[in-house]
Amino acid sequence: MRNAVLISAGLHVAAIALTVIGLPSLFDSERIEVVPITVELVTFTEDEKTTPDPKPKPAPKPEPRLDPPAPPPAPATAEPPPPEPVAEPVPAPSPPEPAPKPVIEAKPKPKPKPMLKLLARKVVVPQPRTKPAPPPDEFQKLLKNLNQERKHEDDERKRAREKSIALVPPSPPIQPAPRPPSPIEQRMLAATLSQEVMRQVTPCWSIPVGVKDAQEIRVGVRIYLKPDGHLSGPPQVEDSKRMRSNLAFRAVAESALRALRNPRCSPLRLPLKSFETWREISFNFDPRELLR
Amino acid sequence: MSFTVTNPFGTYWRRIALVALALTWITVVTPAAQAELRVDITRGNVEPLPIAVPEFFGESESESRLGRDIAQVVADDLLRSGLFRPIDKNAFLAKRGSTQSLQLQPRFADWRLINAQALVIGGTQVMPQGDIQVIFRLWDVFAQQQMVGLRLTTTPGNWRQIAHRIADAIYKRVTGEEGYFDTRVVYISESGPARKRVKRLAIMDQDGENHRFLTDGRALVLTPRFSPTAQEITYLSYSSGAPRVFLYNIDTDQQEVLGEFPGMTFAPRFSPDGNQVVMSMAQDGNSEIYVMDLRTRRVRQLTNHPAIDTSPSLSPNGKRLAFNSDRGGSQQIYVLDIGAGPPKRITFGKGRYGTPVWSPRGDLIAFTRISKGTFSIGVMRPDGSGERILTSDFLVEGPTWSPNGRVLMFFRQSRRAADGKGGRPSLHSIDLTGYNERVIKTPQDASDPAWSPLK
Repeated sequence: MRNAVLISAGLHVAAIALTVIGLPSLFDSERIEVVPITVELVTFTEDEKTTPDPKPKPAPKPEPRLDPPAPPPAPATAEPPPPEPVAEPVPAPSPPEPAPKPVIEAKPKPKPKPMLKLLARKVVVPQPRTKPAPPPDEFQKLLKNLNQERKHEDDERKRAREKSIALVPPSPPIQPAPRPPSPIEQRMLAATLSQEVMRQVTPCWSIPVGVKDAQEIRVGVRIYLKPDGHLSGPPQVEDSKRMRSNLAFRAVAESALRALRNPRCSPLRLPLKSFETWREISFNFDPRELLR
Repeated sequence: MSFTVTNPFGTYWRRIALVALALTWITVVTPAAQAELRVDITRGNVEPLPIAVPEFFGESESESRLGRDIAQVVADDLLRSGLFRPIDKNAFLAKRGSTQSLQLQPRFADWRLINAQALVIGGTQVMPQGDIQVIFRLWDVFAQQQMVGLRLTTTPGNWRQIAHRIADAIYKRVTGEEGYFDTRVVYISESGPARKRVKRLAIMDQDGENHRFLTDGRALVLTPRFSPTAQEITYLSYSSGAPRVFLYNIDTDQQEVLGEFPGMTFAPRFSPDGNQVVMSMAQDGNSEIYVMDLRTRRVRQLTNHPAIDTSPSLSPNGKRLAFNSDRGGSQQIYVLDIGAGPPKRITFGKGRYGTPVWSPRGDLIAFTRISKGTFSIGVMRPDGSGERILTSDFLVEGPTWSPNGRVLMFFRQSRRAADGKGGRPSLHSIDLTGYNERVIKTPQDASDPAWSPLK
């Protein structure tokens, strides 16, 4: 019994020991098995290779990608879009890259030189001046460099993020993501378009100067446009009740309607790619400046 | 780059983050993309409206001649206003229509091609009784809609008035303001050498047509003023020896002296309701302003100051009086709230100010300014702000408002040149922009115009 007990105990211990010792090895092997994920890496890197262009300028990336998702209208419009979206996103990431390098190199070099010159020319006085002076300079330089490097890192991180965005596109939801510009871009685009519309409509607005108190009348008009810039329906005066009740208002409003319908200024010539932004335009005709 | 990708958990979470990011973009940005574009139009131009006024149709020879004449008068009226630019008839592409085509829509494309924005189509017809009937429609060429259409009937001799009424209807429809084409002007017609100048009261349509003399020239007449409500004139005449204010009814040719004043009366002007006349009376070297009720003939003194107060003009509501006075040392314009305190001086610019004339619209006072030997005519708000000079010359005087308060008529006399040319007074009109000045042709020299109300 004792032997049996001892054997069983020993076996138990062995079994426990085996299980205890063997299990970790099993986990290890599992961990090793996880490694194959690197295969995925390869495929990713291949993807990266297919999009090597983005590296120098991240901006073009989204554009080529824009083309495939929207095949029918995109090819024609894909080319024009570059200028505008590029304008805003590019400056942010790309300039810092070249910027830090010249700064790091250029600044330290030129500055020591004047110091040397000063040292050479003036023996006693300049030294104390130059000595206190350089430390802050260099310190600032360092700070700057640090900042720039930080920016650099940030940029790289951003770029990496962008790349990873670029990498994800295979999954469908990402497709719309690059299409709509950011709120700021959207605002900039709207401002640019609004200025362009103003430039095109202004020459056609001619208000009857005989209208009493015309300088106090403002007319809101809403138009809907077709992609070719033609009106898709008659322009709508926002305060249509006043059109009937106030002759002076009607006179100014009608002058606005004539401006919008004048063949000299209609169709509006606007970039088709931003059609969604200008398909509906709300005008505010304000003759104050005109009649001052 | 491999760093960023090696960590599988990193890519996983990044993916989730990216998808989430993409979703937020879709939800947050897309509505913004669909919002309307807002555009402020704060500039433009004050170009006159291009309008096509083809000859009005007529079946018979006389009807088409009448149609041609009416269209011409309408186009001339609109052109003179400075707010319309009638398009040269030679540019018209559309074929001459018939009276029936008045009931159809015009071919707008033909008119758009020649840049017409408004189009007047009309027809004339001589009725069996001899009256003439004129139909016209004003079309918005861009909107392809009728803006106004009227049928007018009158005796053949009155065809000009019909044409002016059509022009007024077009003016009103486009500008929202009453027109002023169906109006007349009285003025002083001058002839003869400077020492023996003959001055006669004359009347004509605002475009210079239908001219006739009202007085024979034996007595000196000055400062005629139209009643704002009736075909009546008040003016200053020396017919009884001393200067007296007279009232003249154009329809009946009757005239009468206004009131029995001890001193001489001058500078008369109707109140806006036509029921009163304000004027100056000079006595013992002082002049004050009085108002007379034309129905009761009761007289009330409005000013009382040892200085010279004259050239009164009432505001449209009749409650305020503008006049000029030298009570401050030099001649300036004052505004008096009748029955409420002393008058307030409103002119403070360089020079002397006189002849204030309250606009029928009430928003402006026209005036004459004399500075450094030059006369100017300008306008300012009743509180003296916004002074604007419209025209200047050796002599510009006697501003009178069109009934809609948009145009001033006055007389201009340039300095006589060494060769004797120039130096003769003539009538001019100028609109409030100061850019559209036009000469009104008169048979003789002309001064002191006064614009009638709309007939």
